[in-house]
Amino acid sequence: MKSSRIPVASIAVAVLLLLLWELFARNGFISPIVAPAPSRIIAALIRELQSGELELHMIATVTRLVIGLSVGATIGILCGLAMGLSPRLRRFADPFVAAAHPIPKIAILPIGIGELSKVAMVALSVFFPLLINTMMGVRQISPVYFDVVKSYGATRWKLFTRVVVPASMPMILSGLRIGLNIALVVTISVEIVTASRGLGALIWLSWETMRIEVLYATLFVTAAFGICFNLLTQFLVARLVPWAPRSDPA
Amino acid sequence: MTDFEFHCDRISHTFVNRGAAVRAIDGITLSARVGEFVCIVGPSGCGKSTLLRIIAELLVPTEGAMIFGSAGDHGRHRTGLVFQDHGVFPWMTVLDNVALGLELQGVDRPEREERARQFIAQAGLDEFESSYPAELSVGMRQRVGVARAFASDVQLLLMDEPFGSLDAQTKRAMQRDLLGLWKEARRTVVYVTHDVEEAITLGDRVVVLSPRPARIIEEVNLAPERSRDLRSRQHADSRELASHIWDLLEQNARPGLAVLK
Repeated sequence: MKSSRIPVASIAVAVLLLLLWELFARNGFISPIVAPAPSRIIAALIRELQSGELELHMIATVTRLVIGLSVGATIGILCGLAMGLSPRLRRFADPFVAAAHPIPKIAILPIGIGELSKVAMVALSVFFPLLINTMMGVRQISPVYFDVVKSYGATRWKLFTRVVVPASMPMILSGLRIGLNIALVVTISVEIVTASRGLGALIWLSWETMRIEVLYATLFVTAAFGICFNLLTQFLVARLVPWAPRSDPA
Repeated sequence: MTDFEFHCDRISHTFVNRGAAVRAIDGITLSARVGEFVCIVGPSGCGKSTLLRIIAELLVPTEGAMIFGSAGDHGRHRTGLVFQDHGVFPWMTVLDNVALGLELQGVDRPEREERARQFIAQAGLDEFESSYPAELSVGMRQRVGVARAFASDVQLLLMDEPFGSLDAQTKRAMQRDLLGLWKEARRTVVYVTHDVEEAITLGDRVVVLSPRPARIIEEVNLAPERSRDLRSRQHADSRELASHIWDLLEQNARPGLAVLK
């Protein structure tokens, strides 16, 4: 049951895949325009890092992501709690959520200008998964928990802090995990379309200048972000849901 | 005269389930004296739990009224519920679970934890104070729920098959503890069970309910001065009582169930 902290098998498979990729790329099996050899990508990655360019792009992306995510997740969680707790509000607001959710937010990107519209785009796309997960989290709480707490004369505040929040926390955190990744995809997509800085901007720039290895280096960085996000959610789960049976994170 | 704890005055309750009205309780009038131990037995699904929720004031009956005696008020909170399942909160440690009743009543941390520890020890859970319920066995979890009710300063304990899934030995120990606490603290207990023998052992009075909609078939008063020795269920008169109650339950069983027998 207790596995070591380092996922040896996953790393082995990753290394194996990279070696195969390297082999095929060197044979000319894969065209360097489609995918350059990993060694060239990693060389490009180191070059970009040393020049300090890549860091600037990363900072731009992370800033947008953090602001957009914080705003979108906070509002999403609050709305989810409210809609989970109040059937009346839920009946009223659910059609609006259903209508607004599938709209591709990027369609209205050109309406806004500058940084604000980019961040708003991220916030909007994070808002929905967090709202829906939080609402589900609240709704799946067994009514017996409410009965027990009420029978001891709990105030509404105690009901909220001792039952509603902890009981829905696992669902909120799995919403956050989804939200983090959506936020990264949306941030980069928005940057591809409009920005001059950020990982998305770098991707676009690399295409235009046909520096495919830089493009892939950026994708490697994005993948590294994905792994960090996963570790972050695992950390949050361990801190905020210490009571969950410790077999499967998030 | 003895004071009454509560009085259910001709209570009926009808649920609406998928558009159809389901009558769960049909004209129940039931009182409990302060300090009385009332057991309720009835077939499963008969509305026992609904009755408990009404007594706990979590549910307003569609007909009739609940009246509470003020004489039972010793400055305690009125009710504490104990359930077989879900009564224990997975996100709280054993200590927090047991102290929860006191916490909700506004007792500050050092005091409530001290009191909770006392009852944790009594339930034999000392070593598990900072464990979460997921780390405990089913029986241990039930003891947490009961320890909370004991630790809390409540006047009326409402217990819904609290020892339903315990092994015989643990069940006996818990019953003994419950009786001990009840005698010492003069609390009123309403105890729902489907175990007739258990009801006869524990209660001052056994209320026998019919299948849904629940009506009172009979109230059996038990001699209050008898020893509540948990082995007394072997005695001839309690055997007789038990078979009388079983007969009542069987006579009133639905035909469908009688055919199965």
